[in-house]
Amino acid sequence: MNIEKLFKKVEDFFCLDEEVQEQKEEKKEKLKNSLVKKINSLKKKIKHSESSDEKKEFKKQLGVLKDFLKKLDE
Amino acid sequence: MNIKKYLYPIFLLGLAYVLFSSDDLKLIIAGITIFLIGMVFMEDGFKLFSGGIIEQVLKKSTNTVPKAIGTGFIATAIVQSSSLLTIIVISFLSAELITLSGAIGVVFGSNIGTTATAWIVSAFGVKIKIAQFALPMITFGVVFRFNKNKSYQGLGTILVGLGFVFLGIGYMKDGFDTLKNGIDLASYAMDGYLGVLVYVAIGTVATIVIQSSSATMALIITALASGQIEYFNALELAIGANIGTTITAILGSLSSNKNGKRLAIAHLIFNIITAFVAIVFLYQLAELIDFLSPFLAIGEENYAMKLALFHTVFNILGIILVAPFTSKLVKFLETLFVTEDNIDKAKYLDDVVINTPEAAIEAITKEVEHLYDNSIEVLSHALSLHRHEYLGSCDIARVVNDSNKKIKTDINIFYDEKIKDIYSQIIHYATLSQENMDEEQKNRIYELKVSSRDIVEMVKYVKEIQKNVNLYLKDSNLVIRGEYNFLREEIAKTIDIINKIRNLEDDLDILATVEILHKDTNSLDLIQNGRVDSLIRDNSINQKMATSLINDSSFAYSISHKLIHVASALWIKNSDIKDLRG
Repeated sequence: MNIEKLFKKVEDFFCLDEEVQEQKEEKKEKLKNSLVKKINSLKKKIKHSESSDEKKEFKKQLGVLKDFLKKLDE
Repeated sequence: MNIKKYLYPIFLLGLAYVLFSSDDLKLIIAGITIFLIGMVFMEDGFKLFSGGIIEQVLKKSTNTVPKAIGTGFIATAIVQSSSLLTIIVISFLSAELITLSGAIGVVFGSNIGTTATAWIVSAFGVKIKIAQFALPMITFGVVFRFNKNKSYQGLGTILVGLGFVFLGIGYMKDGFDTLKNGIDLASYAMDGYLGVLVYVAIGTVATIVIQSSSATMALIITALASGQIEYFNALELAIGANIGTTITAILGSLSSNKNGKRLAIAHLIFNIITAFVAIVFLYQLAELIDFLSPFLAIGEENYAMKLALFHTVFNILGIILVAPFTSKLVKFLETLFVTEDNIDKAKYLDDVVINTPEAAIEAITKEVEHLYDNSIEVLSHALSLHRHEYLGSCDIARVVNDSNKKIKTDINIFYDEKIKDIYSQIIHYATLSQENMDEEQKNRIYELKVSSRDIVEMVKYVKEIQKNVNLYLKDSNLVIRGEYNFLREEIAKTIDIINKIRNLEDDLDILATVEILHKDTNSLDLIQNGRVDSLIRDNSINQKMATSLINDSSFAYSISHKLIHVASALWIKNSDIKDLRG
């Protein structure tokens, strides 16, 4: 392990760089919000869509975005 | 080139002689150099501090010439650097984010914006002891520069820059004040049109040597305030400074691409016309300044501020005269620097912006898009498809089925003419541009380099497929023909979908589409899905066809994957959203 990585681990362990951690959390939260918003909008689109092809496409997109949201929560 | 070789040491020797022979001139020259250092710091500071705001404003506010003039004026007056603005404008012009007329408008406006320096120097620099603010500014600036936050670092750099500018003005002023006890430059004052021409020439040469019209203006104003030059000669020097700055721009544009050169020519035309009019109507303009001064509370004897007003007025006059002809100017400029060459060169990689991280990234991104578009042309032709037939079609399967005529394309020639040069230029430029970049920006450059490599590899893979597409396109065995049509159709569909999403605003829409595409490409792995096995078992294709199909499906699979990777790298703008794909 190189020295830089070691320092990074120590830094992370003691949360020395809190500002960086906070920024990361903030970014993650923002991303989650955007995903939730997009998912809700897709759900609405599926509900109002009349074409079955379009509905199928939206459902695929919905599935993909839900997977990403799950990945973020983990 | 040889003249330059000898001129430089002569210049250095001359400079050393002046510096050691006269304490007063030493102060003035030190003032100019400190002022210039300050300008460089301020420019760097604004690059850090603005965090792309200038770029965003320029993108949105240059759609009409008046708007572009206003934007150029305000932006330059704030950042105090027309060269920073010019660099951004050239990069945007190269990236086709703004039009040539918009860029010209910004440069026109920027000319008025630079006159703000003259106002600052004349209003504060010569009246109050401005240098006493300099040291606290530099101190606070250095403290801010130690902060981790980029905006603070930027603010710190601006303060250091402003501090040096003030310090430089202070030195120039002190130098002129003491110089007048020894030599009286005012005794060299010249009247009439001979004087006009001599002083305009001095102003021009001084600006070319100093490489900054703002520094020349500061010098002229401090000299004027100290009574070392006469008011009319100062006006003439200011006109010269305006001409000199365009020559600096022309020299700077020599390493630029055609857009940079066109913009520099526009700048030159504008400033020459303005200077010509100002010279012809110098006395009338001086009368106009005398008339306007009381309205701006400028005293009759306050020549420094009158000079600042003159500088602004004659630049505004230039805009009034030239701006109505912008469209004609654009038409003329577009006829310049047109090259007719079979070899496609990089269009957006401009050496002028290579040291400005955001602008360089923008330029490289656009160039990779250019490379991508070229590769799509060869990909389509190698698969015997025409882009105008399948892109946007609602039935790509039918288009592919109907397109069974071989399109003559020599991929080796195409590679030499439309891929190779651009690719090597991207790699070279990207490597050089990384010097001033932070970690995040370097990652972006790495991503763009990988995308370029992916594009080149796609072209190499399609060369392999092309041979068999041509062979089996009209084969009597309908099964193998169908299989190759399937490969062609899948690649065409991927290109078509990417073409549709590349202009989408919402990154999440692009992400979802790209991810679906990624999953769908698995159908191209004919070994994994057992398709080839069943075709062999059914005796639908012979052994030779089977091995060709296995190899080519693998190439098609790789091409599709690379297309998706490139699309996600190029068109998902938010790096956090991009990272979701892992």
